[in-house]
Formats: sequence, C-alpha cells, structure tokens
Amino acid sequence: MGEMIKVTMPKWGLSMVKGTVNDWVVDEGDEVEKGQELVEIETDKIANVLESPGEGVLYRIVAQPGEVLPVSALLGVITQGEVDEAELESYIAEAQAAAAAAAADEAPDPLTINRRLDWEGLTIRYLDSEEGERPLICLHGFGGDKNNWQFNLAALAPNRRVLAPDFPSHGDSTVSAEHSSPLAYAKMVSAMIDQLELGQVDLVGHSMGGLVALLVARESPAKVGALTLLAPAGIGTEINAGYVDGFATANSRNELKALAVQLFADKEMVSRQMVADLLKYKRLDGVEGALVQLAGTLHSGGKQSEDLSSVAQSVPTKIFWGKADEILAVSNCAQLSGVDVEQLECGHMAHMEAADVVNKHLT
Amino acid sequence: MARELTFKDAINEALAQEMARDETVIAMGEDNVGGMGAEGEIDAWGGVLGVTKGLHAKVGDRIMDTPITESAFIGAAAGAAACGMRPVAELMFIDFMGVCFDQIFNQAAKFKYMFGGKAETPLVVRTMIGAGLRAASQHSQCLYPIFTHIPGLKVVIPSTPYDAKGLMIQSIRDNDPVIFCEHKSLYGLKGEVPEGSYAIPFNEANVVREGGDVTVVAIGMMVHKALEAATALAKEGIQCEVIDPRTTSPLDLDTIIESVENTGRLVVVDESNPRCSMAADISAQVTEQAFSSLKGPVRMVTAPHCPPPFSDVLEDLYIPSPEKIAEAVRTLK
Amino acid sequence: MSLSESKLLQAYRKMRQIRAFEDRVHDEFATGEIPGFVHLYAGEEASAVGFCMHLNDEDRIASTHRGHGHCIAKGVEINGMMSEIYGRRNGTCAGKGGSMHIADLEKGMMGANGIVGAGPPLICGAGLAAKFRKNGAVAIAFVGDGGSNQGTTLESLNLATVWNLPCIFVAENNGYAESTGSKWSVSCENIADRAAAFGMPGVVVDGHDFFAVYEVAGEAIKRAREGGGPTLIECKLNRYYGHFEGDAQTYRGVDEVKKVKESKDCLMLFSKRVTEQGLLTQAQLDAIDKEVAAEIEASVEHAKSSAKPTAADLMTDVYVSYP
Repeated sequence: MGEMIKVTMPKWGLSMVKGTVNDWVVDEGDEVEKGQELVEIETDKIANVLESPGEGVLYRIVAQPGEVLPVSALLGVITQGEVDEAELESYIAEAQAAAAAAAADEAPDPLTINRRLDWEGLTIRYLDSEEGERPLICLHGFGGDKNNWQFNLAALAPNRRVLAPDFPSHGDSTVSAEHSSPLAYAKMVSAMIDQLELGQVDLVGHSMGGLVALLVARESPAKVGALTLLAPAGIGTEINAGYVDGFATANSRNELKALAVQLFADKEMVSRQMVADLLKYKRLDGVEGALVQLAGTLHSGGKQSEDLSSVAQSVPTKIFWGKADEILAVSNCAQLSGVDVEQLECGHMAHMEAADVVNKHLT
Repeated sequence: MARELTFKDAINEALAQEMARDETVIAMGEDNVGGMGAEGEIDAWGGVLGVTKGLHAKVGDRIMDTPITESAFIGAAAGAAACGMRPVAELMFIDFMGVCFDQIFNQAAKFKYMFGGKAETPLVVRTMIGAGLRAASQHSQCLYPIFTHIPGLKVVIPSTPYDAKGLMIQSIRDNDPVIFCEHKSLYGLKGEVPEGSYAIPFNEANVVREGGDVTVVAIGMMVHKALEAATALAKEGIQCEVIDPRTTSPLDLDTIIESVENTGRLVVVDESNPRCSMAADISAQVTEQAFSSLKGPVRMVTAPHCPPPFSDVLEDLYIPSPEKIAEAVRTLK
Repeated sequence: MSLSESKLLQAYRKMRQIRAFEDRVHDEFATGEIPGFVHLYAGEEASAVGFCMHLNDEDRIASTHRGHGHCIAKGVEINGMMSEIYGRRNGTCAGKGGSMHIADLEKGMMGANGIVGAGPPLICGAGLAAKFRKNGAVAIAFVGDGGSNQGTTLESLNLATVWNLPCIFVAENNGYAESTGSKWSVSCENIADRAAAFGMPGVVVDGHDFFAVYEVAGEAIKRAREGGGPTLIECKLNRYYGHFEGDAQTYRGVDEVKKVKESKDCLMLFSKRVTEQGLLTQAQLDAIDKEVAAEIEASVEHAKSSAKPTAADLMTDVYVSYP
C-alpha cells in the first residue's frame, strides 16, 4: 500500500476556527502536484484557495461544497501508489474521529458567542446554549441586557437550553425607537421562537421583561409553556416612575450610580464597572430617545399602563418578588390570587441577588 | 463576548459612521487615500499608518489627498469649517504643527471670539503624538500643551479604543476646533468597542482605577504606564487612583480634585517636556484649589527637558516609565 | 564640459558608495536591527553627486528625509553615518539624530530633515551668511516633488531673488510624495516652470544622467558664485525603494522600477558612457566597486560593534550653556 496524505481545513490567521468548503478546483482521480490549487475555502474574513500539501492522486474528496468544518477537519485524501479501499476507509474514519475530538476540546463555550438574528431589518443579539431540551428564554428589564443573566445562564445550561436576547434599543441590538415598546418586544420574542424553531418555550422575565413574557403568552399562547416572573411589570399599578424616567435621560456617572443603587437591596453590588457599562450603553446614539419613548409606554400619570394579572392567572406562572424592591413594589401582587408568589429578601434584581433560589426553580 | 477593535480601527469606524451620518463631514490629509496620480492602486496607503484605509471606498471623494502643503490645507479646512462643512484634517505628526500653526491658533481658534460670536469653526485636526517608535526629534513629540494653552481650541487625547471612537465622534459633532491627538504607540491596542455610534462628552475624566492612597493623573499612553505602576504598587500595599482626563481642554479638574480630597496625594504623569506641560498645569491648579487637602508636594513625572532622542537607549530613558511613576508615588508615602 | 580622469573616478566612487550604502541599509533594516525608519536614496545618485562635485566645504547644502545620498556626496564620513543609523554613540550625531537628521556642519552638510520643505529657508540663510561673509560660497537646498509644494519652499524662492542670494534650489522629482504621484500633486507640467514666477532661471534635467546634471549644476553654481542670483533646477528621476522601508508600494505600476533599472540606471549609464568613450576602463570601475563593497561591509561591522549612548548623554547638547 502507498502513502496517504491528508488534505485538511487550514488555519488562516489567528482567529480562524472554521471555514466553508466552496468548490473543488480538481476532481477525484486527478493527479496533483505539491502547491497546486485544490479547493476554495471561505472564512468570515477571507476567501482563498487551499494548495495541495503533497503530490499524488486526489483519490477521495471527503468534504463537499457548502460544508462548514473546523480547522484541521479532513477535506480529502491524496494517495501515492496502490490503494487498499478498506485501509483508506479506516484511515478516513480515524482522521475524522481525531478531528472531531480536537474540535470538541477547542470548541468555545456556546454561551460566550454573541449571536445575531434579523428581525424587521434590525439586528437582534442573543446568547444561546444550543444544547438541551425545554428551551427557556430569559427576558431582561428596562435598560438592561442579556448579560443581566450572568448568574443564571451557565448554571441552567447543563439541564436545559437557555437563550437570552437583547431587546431592540438594548445591549448590542439595533437601536430603534419605532420598535421600542413591550408589545414590539413580545413580537420579537415570538419571531425568535419561530426563526430558531424552538417549538414551545418557557419564559422568564424580569421587570419589563415580565410584562413582555405576559404579552407573548397572551398573543401566542401556543408557543408558551410556563412563565417565571421576577418583579414583573404588568402586575398591579404601582411603579417608581422617577426611576424609569430618570434612567432614560441620565447621562453622567453620578446620575446613573444614584439610580443603579435603587435596584439592589445590597447597595455594594453596584460596582464602578456596572455604572461604567451603563454609561457606555446610555451614550449610544438614539438610546436616550428610544428609552424615553419606551418609558412612556410603561407608565402614565405615575401608574403602570397595563395590568395583565389575568394572563398570569391563566398560564402556569411562578412569581419571585424582592421585599425591598424600590422600583416595582412587592405590594403590586397583593391582590393577585391563584398564582404562586414567593417573596425574597432582596431588591429589584432577584435573578442577581437571589440567583440560587431563582436558578433552583428554573432548573 | 463583545466586539474588540484596535485603537486605529476605532478611529476609522468613527470617521466612517460620522461621514455616513452627516454629508458635511469631509476628511483630508497627506496620503489619506494614497496613490493619486500614480499607476498602481488607489487607497494604497490610507494615511501613513493606515488609519483612514478603506474610507475612500465608502465615502468616495469626501476623503481627499493633499499635496504636502500643511499651511494651505489645514487653513483650507478651517475656512471650510467656517463655511458650513465639518472637515477632519490630518496633520500627520504633531511635530509638523510648525508649518501650519498660524492657521490653527491665529485663525481657527480665534474666529468665534474675534468675530463677536458670529462664527463657528467645527474643525477637527487629527494628529499623531508620542515617542517609542525611534522616530527621533521631529516625529516623536507630545506638543499638546501648546494647543491646550490657546483659548478657543479643544484638545483631546484618548487612551483606549473605546474612548478613541467616542471622542472622535464628539470631536466631529463639536462646533469648536478640536485637536485630536493619537498616540502612535497605541494604534495596535485592542479593546471593546460598541458597533453603534456614541459620543463621549468633553470635560469628563475617566477614573480608570480606584484607590485611596495616591491620585495619579496620566494622559494618553501614560495611562497605561500608570496602570502598570499601580499594579506593582498595590503589591506593596499602596492603592493608586488612576485618572485619565481624556481632554486637556476643557480639563475636568473637579474629578481630579475630588480624588485628591480623598487621597491627599497627587502624581501627574505627562509624556510632554516638563516646562509649561500638562503636568505643570494640573499641579498648579490643584495646588491653588485644593492646597489644604494635600499631605505633601505634588510630584510630576514627565519627559526630561530635551528633545526626543533617536537611539533606543536614550529614548527609553526619555519616556516616563512605570518604575519612575512608582518611585514618585513612593516618595509621597 | 570635460572632466578629468580623477574627477570621473571620484564621481563614480561617490555614486557607487551611495548605492552600496543604501542597498546595505535596505538589507540590514529588514533584519530588524536598525531602529526607527529609513528613507533610501538608491536610484537618485546622479543628482546628489552631480551637484556636490562642484562644491567645497564652505558651500552648504540642506537635505530632506531622504538624505543619505546628499550626505555621502557632500563628504560626510561613511562610518559615522552608519553608526548614526544604528543609534551608536560614535555616530555623526552621537546617536541622537538617526537616519533622518544626519548633519555635519564642518562638511557644509546642514542636515537631513524630518520636516518637508524645511531646507529652503535655511539655505536662504546660508546664502545670506555667505553674502555677508564674502567667502564666495553657495548654498543648495534639495527638496522632493512633495517639498516643492510647501509654502516654505515657494516663499524661499521669492526671498532668494529679492535678496539676490547665491542659492540653488534642486527639486528632485522622483514621481512620488510618499504614495502620492507628482503628476497629481504638482499643479504645473514641470516644477522648474515655477521659476519664472520668481524671477529666476528654471531648468529641467534628466536626473539619471550624471553628465547632464553636472553640467546644469555647474552653470547655476557659477552664476551664483559670481553674484548672478538663484536658480531652480528640477531633476527628474526615480527612487528604487519605497517611501520608507516597509512601504508595500502598491501605488506603483507593474514592473515600474524594474524598467527604470534596466533602461536608465545612473550607474549603468555612467559606466556605459565612460567605457565606450574610452575615458575609463571597466577594470577601473570594477576595482572601485570592490573597494566600496569592502568599505560598506566594514562600516556595518564598525557600527554594530560600537557602543550605544549612555544615560549621561541624554541631557547633553540641549543648550550651549544653561542656565
């Protein structure tokens, strides 16, 4: 039996982890020389032609056009001299197994990827653990983003699939005042469920995200299993409108710090970095206008605009509420019957301040 | 993970976004495109270190090459600014200010005041500063104190990719002439930069590191040297609060004084030469306004009173080092 | 204009020294041992040598950022230059200036320069000093096509005529200011055409042809020495390397440099003419090539083995006396 030479996915540049196989420039059975162009490879940065690593006959094309493969994956085999088919097959199987094992070792944590989907011409950024059943979508609050779930996603991911989007005008998603209302956000969540083919999902919503979850359940009941609401808007009428309007227009570190401490029972949780990150977000073009408009949809005359208690009562719902909440007072659920409400020793940010309790429920 | 860009690409993105947003924004400079009147590629350079590379494909003739005529094109940018445009003119190295200074300090800087408030001059002059590349005496200076001295000019010195983008956008939107200083040793520095546009207001110092023992004010490249010093000093039990003013005119003295009132000690780090430097200026202002808070003399760490030398041995001695900063801090304890 | 055998040998040696020096710096720079950045003069040798062959140490020149060739032509010592480029203490400028600032006032070399267009005003001053001191000296400012567009250059042309200075302004038009073509950046057909506006003679000369440059230079220098005032001379020539080392030169045409080297190289043209006319033998030229190669090799060895400056050198030479 002659020599066999592997043709593998190259690594072009430091950041390349995978590439797309485009067209093969040579056919199976062609004789090739070292350095001859073999196959077109495309990455997100560059399209180029892979050159032959050696001379011989391109005996087998393993990777077909259109396949996306990690660096070092087997693309084809070049042979020199006689070929034993059985030996070739086991050679290919071994190479693929080795590449798969290497890829598994190097695969980044899926939750660290800032994914995107398109919705109504906007870019929506989200996190997704990819693996697991019973998808759970985590919906952040007013002025928040997907990273508010930093204490929850990794803890939940081993047991179920978790996803967390940035609503329009929040986080890394496109800023669009036109798409900034709880109802628009509910439509976005519904579209996300469809685009990612998630089937039926559970929703966990914090504050305004709770209101969005209730709206999704009302508008698209078939898509929603259970709801978990953390200090949700849309239950009762009390709201700290000064906080909401203040956050929308704040543009200095000191103003934002004074607002951020109202979110937590333990004021020490407000770090300089948290305030710096809020300030960076607030300074993005268009954010202030979008938040001012969004704030206008959340309250009027110092009261919440919409009470969706009846939705909570019609869907399996669990509510967590901090006793020290300064934004949406726990008294909002005083009149709510037939829903499991658990009061916690924390402020407005139950998923951060009482992450263990919330995670245990969501697992 | 949020997106990372280099300092250089952050400036490029700010220019691209502002030029897309506002048609009155134009850019010009020597080889800002490159390859004009030659047989090869257009956009061959994109500036001498590639900061404006690729803009020509996005904005076409709104980015322009110039002959080597700084006095004429910097002056033309000032004139166009006074006539409804928002030019971003590149003075390749700040050392070249000598060739065109009149157009900046007697013309652009003075219009608003001399004309009784009737003129606006939304001009940005982008310019490279700083030592470290062995570029010798006429390509390595930090001359921003000279611009800071002139009423009517604003002076911006970013230290991170995030700040570079947000401050460039603010510079373009600002209605006064702005001198935007880019330290050439920072061009390759990577950092998180949002994809969207954002403006960082002037007169807002950034507290880069918190600490209660000594306030260290550092500018541009020196912010990174000061942070290195602060890390080393923390191991000795000395906690530095590192403040990056980001703009030297206007200067956010409030943030500096607030910190000095807490620490009682101040070290100012400035890569410019010591006389009439930002270090001297900040020291004087803090001493005047917060003397009673100071527990000891203000220390200045600057380049020495000599031109930037060529030889690597000498240039390394010339640039303030983390060791020199740490030594200055220790003398206050 | 006829040149003696010794003059011809001298001219060839100077041009060969410049070429060998620049080719070697190009190679050495690529190894990473030379700090900063360098701008090489290879291809333009006939210009510097064609002018400086007429000069003595009392005569002054001011150069550009592309200054190595002018230095060698004006007699600056090669070992000192190489040491300077390496940042050594025994360099021409004690390691403080580097490639872009080599100067040797005793040789009448007022400095390479990091500022485009900075030379012409200084050369007006050199001309003015010569006039007051009545020493018969002339002063030459070399600028590039880029520098020809600077206000400082144009103001100097005017001043030199107004004061009737013994100055010559040499515009070395190598086609590019950095990456920008002079066909685009220079507003008239020839830079020399501008002379008319300043009331002085303007001459265009083929900068690849040593003999043509030497002749034109001789006339202008003679006129200046005799009180006849300034001249603007444009040498049209080519640079073989990029604006600086590391320049990918994507703005240049395919094979542009190769074609020039094959058809117009100044050393090639010189050799051809002197051997065909029987003025010099190929053996004489080969002997010079060999000597120069050894000289450049020795200068690199010398530079690499020389000491760098020390901390004590940082604060010297700022003032003549201070306080």
